[in-house]
Amino acid sequence: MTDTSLPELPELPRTRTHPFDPPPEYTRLRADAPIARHVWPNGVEAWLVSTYDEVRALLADPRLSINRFSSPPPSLAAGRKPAVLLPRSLVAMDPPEHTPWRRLIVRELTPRWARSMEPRIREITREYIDQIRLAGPPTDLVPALNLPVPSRVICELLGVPDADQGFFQKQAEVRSTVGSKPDDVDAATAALHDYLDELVAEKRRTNADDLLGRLAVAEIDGVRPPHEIVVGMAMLLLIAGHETTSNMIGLGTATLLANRALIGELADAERAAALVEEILRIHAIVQFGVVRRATEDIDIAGVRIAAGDWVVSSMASANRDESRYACPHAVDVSSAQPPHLTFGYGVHQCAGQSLARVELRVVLRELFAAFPELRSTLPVERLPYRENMFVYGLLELPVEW
Amino acid sequence: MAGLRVDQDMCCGSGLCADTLPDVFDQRVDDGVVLLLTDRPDATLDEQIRAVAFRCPSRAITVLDD
Repeated sequence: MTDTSLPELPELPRTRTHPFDPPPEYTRLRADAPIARHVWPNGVEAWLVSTYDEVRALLADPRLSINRFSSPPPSLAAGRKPAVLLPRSLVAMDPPEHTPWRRLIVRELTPRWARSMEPRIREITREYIDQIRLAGPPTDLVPALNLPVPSRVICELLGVPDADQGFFQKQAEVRSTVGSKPDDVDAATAALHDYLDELVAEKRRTNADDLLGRLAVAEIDGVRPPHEIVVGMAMLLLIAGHETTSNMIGLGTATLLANRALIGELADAERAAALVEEILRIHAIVQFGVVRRATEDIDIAGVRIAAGDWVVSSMASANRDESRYACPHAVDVSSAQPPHLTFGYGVHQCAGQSLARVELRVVLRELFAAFPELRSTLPVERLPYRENMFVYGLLELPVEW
Repeated sequence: MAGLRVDQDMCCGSGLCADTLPDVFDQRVDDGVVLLLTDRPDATLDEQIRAVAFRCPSRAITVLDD
């Protein structure tokens, strides 16, 4: 079954026919081969999982490990590998090691806390919208709004002092900008790491009453966690909370510009929340799925995943599963939909999902309230997209009003 | 439903249950772990509780049928 000599092993589907839709091959895979061997651009083979029930089952399965570091995982291997590596964090830990660390993070990021952040997020959003209005049309929303809002929110969450936010945002932007030179990305990663290393040490010294301060002095089973892992957690919060949210804001905006009837949904808070869920479902921006490795044999949907096999779950395909969604390929706010898998599933489901939801809802509401006539200077089909990037989204979103 | 159970060891603290049904679920302040406020919730919440149990990322909520 895992015979590597088979010449016709299909390649990971990567070519979209519409910028809002996953590659069309997934439609056939969902119907004929929900869990099927594929080969990744770096030559590594893995199971590609494309259906809703199977993605959910496997992402919740403790026999799949998130540890991807024993041998090269399936990857796009596009461009040079970063030379500056990140310290370990939640995304490199399995239970039981993962459990106490996860709890130290999620207690800070509860849905209740995220709601309490709404006024501050609105204030930050309005600051950037005022600047956009002042500069006048046209504007590229990616650097003017989509990147800086989540960046500022993360800065405040991590307790980055006001005086350092300019430096911090600049480095984060270099990391998130597709056109950045690899050396510059490495330099920015190193600068952010050094900065957070210092910041965590200072938070510990001063017993700061914020997320990093509490993390720095937390104990797991009576033991103070290693400094380097606390820095790793800070890096994870920064990177995971930044690029994903800003790209989702861009795709959400483009979706509303392409289907203006949906803009009216933003007026009511509850309907806006439902619209945000559908935007999240349609755009599963971790576009090539998430990689796990089987630690035991797993029999599922008529195949045997052998211990040691790589398993890649496509949330983008699962979110379009015809057996779960009545209108899989359109934003459907007519009734409650099954929960999408954009934030993943299982114990590694995105810890920042509640914050992301609030940010997305607030930014979209504020943007269209400020500029009801907002339009893209190009049809959405002709905008530039992050086609080969780990996180999908827009490279630019030029608008006028 | 005949009853409701949560598994605090399995809970990964997403808080989705407490956010949707604050009269039935809560989150512990120390670690975000689920707290069950009642194991006999109002029958009118049946459908919502099943939806929340399905949504729970760590499958820590069990709806007990007879």
